[in-house]
Amino acid sequence: MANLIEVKSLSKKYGSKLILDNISLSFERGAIIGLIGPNGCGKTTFIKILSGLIRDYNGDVKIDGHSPDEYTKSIISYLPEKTYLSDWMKIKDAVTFFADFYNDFDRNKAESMLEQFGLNPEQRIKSMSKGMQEKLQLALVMSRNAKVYLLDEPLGGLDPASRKAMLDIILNNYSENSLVLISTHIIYAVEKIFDRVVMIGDGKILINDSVDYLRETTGKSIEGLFEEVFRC
Amino acid sequence: MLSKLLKHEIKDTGRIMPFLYLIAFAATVIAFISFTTGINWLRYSSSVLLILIGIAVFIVTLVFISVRFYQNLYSREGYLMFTLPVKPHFLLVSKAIVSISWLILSSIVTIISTLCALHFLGVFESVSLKEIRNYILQSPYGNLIDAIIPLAVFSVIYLVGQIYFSITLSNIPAFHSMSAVSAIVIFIVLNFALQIIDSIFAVILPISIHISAEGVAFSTQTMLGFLLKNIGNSNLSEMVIGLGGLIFQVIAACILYYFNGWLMNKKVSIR
Amino acid sequence: MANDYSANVPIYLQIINEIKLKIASGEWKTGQRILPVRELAMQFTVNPNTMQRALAELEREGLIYTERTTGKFVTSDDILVSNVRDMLAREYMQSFFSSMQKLGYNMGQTMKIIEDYVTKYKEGK
Repeated sequence: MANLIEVKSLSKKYGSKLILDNISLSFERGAIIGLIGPNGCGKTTFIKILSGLIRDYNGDVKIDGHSPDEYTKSIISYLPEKTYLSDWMKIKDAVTFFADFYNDFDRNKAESMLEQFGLNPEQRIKSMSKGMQEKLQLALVMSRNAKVYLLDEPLGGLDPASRKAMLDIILNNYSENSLVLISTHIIYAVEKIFDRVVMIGDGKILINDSVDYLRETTGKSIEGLFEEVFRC
Repeated sequence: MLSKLLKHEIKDTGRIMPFLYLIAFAATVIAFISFTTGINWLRYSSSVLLILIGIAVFIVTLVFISVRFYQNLYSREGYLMFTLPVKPHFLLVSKAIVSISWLILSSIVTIISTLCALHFLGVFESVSLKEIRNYILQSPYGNLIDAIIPLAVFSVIYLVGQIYFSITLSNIPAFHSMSAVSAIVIFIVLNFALQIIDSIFAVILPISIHISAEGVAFSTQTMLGFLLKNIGNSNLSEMVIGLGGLIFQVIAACILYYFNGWLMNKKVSIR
Repeated sequence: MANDYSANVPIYLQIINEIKLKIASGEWKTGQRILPVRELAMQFTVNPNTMQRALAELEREGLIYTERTTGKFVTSDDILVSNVRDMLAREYMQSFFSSMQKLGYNMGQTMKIIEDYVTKYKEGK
């Protein structure tokens, strides 16, 4: 079976600034992959290209055989760094919105996750803290039975307990047919759930190997390696 | 999917718009009560207020649909909207349809409240609406009355096209360094440029309507030729109105919507 | 569950050790059926593929066996389990003595400390 995501010679410029420099990568089904690198190194740009938010790039991007379009959007469940729900919505409105637009959305799963996070469906987005909104979005995104999960900095606003809950959700949701791509700069908490890590720095891929292979060959944790690679 | 987008668009905008109409309605009721009291200063001020509120309804609608277009697509909410499994130009179409509908509804509210206010002010005591209508129908312009509604609807479509296009254009990466003000600047420049081209087309294209005492007819005269011929003639018995401007507007509207959809598909990137 | 994996050892090796400890200590009883890979992965908060790799290794060592239809089980071989227990005990001793050596104690001094400790421990009880 072909790789779920195939990226060839991908470059992206903002003005004269090269954000992604001729990147080639592929991601297989059934993997949980960490995309790590310092802020502003191109992680978010890369994920935005996969999600279809950025359309003017150079190179070839294929997701399940398609360039980013409405089909790929229907199989990708994307969690951006930003909170994106309208202020006026109640949690239940957001659930309805997702159920309406995504055929793979599992309402029961969403409801049980909301309960797990202690979120009340009647609550308004406006009255929620950023951390609560992030949990809500995570619950919505993980309630889809998607082929690809793109999670951009999912750990950012979470307290340690929620972080554990979120890792449980990702592992619980694991399927041999889907791919989970997690971008993060908090490595310590998550490195043990990754099959493979891709380190991006200055728009280039610096490391792309399995976690255990890296530990074996370098004798370092991924976090240690990260600190070494990006020593400033 | 378009129907789902429409449904959500109506639901979202439907939270706000009825309040505007409710305010206009309340102002009408107040003006009516003031009218029945017979106290002149109260009648005048409440009627003037009603006219102002009527106009405000239209302007607020315009501002609301512009802000909504920006906020829902190009602010943080764009992360959700642009990753929905729909073609990006469907986002445009759904928003345009709903906004145009609200604007038409608001125009009707504005007209009705203005007419009510005029009535309360006693304007129709000396001449009734029916008389005004008959007067127009009997004038050389009578045949044009059927065109008013389609023209008004089209001008709303055209205006929304310009507003939406300006907002989209201000959100392509090339304009990212500028503030949200760039959308307004683009709109003013675009609107001005379109009006100039529009006027040029109106006067030079040899397609027009000729209005005289016999009525209205199409003609191949240019408006420019007619105007030059009649310089200094202050008592015109006939008139030629160029259609080139309107033709240009229709073409421009199509291009604006098409190009807007193309930008949304290809160029826009959400910050 | 303590999932504080040390930084530089491959995660699957750490899981293997942890499971061996569970088997040796009797937390996982001989012949007992174990949870499916996915649930074990969640319990240990590790990647399911890593868990799979660890279980495969344990299976190769004979500590776990698969019954085609019903799942994976802990070995019923008590001798094998006691061997694992002995091996773990030796590892602990080794690590203890090497730590003591680092602290600057020679074998004799270390033995003395152990004797003192045992005496105090008994008194304490």
